[in-house]
Amino acid sequence: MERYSLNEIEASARKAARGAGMSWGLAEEAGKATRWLAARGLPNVCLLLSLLKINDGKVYSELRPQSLDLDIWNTPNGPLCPVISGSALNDFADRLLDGHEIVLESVTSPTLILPILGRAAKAIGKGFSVSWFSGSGEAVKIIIAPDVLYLEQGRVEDLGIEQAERVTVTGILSDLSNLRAEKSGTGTIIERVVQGVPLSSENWTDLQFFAARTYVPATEESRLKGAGAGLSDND
Amino acid sequence: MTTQLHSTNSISLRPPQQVMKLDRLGSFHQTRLSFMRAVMRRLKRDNWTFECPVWRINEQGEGVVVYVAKGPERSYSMVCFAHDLDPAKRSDRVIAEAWDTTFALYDGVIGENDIERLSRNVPKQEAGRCLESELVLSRANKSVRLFEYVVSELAAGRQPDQAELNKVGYLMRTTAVYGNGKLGMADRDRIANRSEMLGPFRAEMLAVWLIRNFVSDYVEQMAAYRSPETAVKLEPEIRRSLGVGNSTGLGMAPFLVNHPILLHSWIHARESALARIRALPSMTAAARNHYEVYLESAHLSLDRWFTVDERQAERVAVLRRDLEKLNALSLDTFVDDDLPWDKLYRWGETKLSLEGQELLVSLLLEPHAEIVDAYASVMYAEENDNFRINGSQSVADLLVALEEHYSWALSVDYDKHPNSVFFWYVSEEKLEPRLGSRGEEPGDNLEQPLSIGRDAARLYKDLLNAQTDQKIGTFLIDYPEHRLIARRVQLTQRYPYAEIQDNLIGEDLLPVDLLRCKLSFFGATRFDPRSDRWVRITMFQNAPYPHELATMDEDNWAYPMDIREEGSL
Repeated sequence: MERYSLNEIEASARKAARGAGMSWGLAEEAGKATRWLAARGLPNVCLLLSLLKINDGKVYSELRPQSLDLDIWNTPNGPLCPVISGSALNDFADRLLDGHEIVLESVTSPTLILPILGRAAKAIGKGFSVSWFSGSGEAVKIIIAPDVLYLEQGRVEDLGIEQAERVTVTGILSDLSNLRAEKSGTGTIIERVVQGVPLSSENWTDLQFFAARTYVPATEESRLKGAGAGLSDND
Repeated sequence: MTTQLHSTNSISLRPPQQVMKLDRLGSFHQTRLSFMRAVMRRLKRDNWTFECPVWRINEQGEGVVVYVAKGPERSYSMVCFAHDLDPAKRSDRVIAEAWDTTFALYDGVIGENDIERLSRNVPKQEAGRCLESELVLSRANKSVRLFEYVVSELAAGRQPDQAELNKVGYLMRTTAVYGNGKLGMADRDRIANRSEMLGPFRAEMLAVWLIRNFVSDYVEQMAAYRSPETAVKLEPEIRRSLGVGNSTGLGMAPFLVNHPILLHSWIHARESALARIRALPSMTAAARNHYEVYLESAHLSLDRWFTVDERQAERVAVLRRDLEKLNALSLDTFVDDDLPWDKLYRWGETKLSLEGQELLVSLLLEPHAEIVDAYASVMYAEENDNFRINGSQSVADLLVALEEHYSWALSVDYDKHPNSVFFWYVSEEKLEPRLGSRGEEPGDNLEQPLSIGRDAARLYKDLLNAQTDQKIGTFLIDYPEHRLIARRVQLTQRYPYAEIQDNLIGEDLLPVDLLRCKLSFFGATRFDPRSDRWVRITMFQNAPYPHELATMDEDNWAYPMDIREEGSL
């Protein structure tokens, strides 16, 4: 498999998310989230692609939480978008840390929520827990601390799930600064790794398919005017 | 964290509404803080050494060369491929497909296997792939006439005429210098914590400096092949007068907009250094002497600043008059002032053009290494750590932030065609940023989010219709289209130099100003716009070569000295 840099993955993911209809601000979140997962060796582009294929052609109102006043979030029909809901959970971090537990009734690619909360945890110095049941009924529980991601229950493969029901998110007020030491030997501490990220050519092609929707085809005029450079360098 | 716009003493930093205007940013000149100069200081300080373990160039000028730069902790290999290029394929547009020379900076000491791998990919540039062991990818074309002239002169045993060299300033011109994860290369994360890479574009600047070294070695080799009996090498002074060129178009333009915190850190460092110098209570004789020598040198720089661009030529002419005014000014009238440098700066604000004012900033920074140089190491930013939106902020607070930091944007009527005449897009053919004319060219439905002013005004309008105590988090769920600009407004509250305060889609936009600003931070000189969206520049002109670094001053090259006339510092 070809290896890609995190920058290539982020840039393509952002464009692909935009190409599939997200606003630029949400597309940025999607790009950064995909990069964050890739940098930790977790499922990344494949999760975004599952999401973009399901979201494709739907309008925003079908994908956002209908009402934010309640602690159970859902859409009128179909799963929530994890980028929209994750962004909203970030924006509502105060509510989570006030002891509220927010339940997302059904979410596509729920793992995409983790990076958004991971960034929130780092910024505000508090943690979050996210849990769901895997397809085979096994519990998956992730602790997001300001500087570490801890898979308390479940396996890394469970993070590749394309859809989950009843994803529960809570804030953690207790001090998590020793989490890495306390949890060594149990569960899985997920470390950041910086290296080229292997992607299948199919995933890369699909990503470029969505990204290409943001490009403008060239015309003769734009070829000459758009870049502003001359054609010959023989001087 | 809130950035203070006050230095430790009595002079405030110049406010963003003054500094962040495109016409001023587009008047910036290189300074002590420029990345080329910071790299040179670092290499010198840490006693870097340089070797050329591989030199395989045939008589047709084809082959491979490797330079190894060795520092206290790590080594880097510059791999240079030279090609025999059909002139019909020589284009300095980024979209070319073949070049005279192609380059990669490799992380470590390269072996034959990796040279072989790179030989299959680097010459293809965008059409090839790199690995995370590569840090920079670049290519350059000959300045054809000058290259041939220098080869023929050297082959005949003569030195080339300095005046001919000065007209161009370089023998080869790079057309792209890629780093940070492009085409499979290492992400910046891989090297960001290395001491020699602290600061922006360090690997890229090292690579360009080594490209310049290659070009001079290469021209001498070609002369020797042509006439082994009579050929001579370039005399060191003439050799040093050759920089390396660069040709840059719109591809670079969005960078400053897409890296707002980095932009803030660059400007803030420069402005902080300026404010501290303006706050100095006295003008020492040594600093005054340095200033005067560099002022004299600035005249020489102008004599060598050739441009075919009418606007820039006029600006250079005005700058020449500005320098004459500065020359005529006696510093005796300032020496006894409480804040002599500040008085000089303020004199400049009333008497000089923007080009002149910003050149004066460079001149004020120049004699004050002990104040200025430390700022070079804080000119980086972690954009990712500042990406989070604070959803708890109230609509009222965000409105106040917009009024405080975006008043320049809120007063524009974007429904008037001249105020939104342009749209930025990415071309399908070349995947490069382009600028289109709204209404005349297709694609404004695929506009890139660089229309900051208009987007801020749209956010403002919708915020005015929201409940003032509503939290931004709930507002943004209803208005996802405002998420990007809301994030920028929150950033600008903390990083006031993050935003260019001009309409980037209005009829007055000159994209070349965006390029000039960024390139000035690189340390480029001799800006030669070829249109309002494309510029040629020179880099590392007069700098020491690797083999000279140990014995030469690493930092007085940025201002040319005609040694036969002026003497040296």
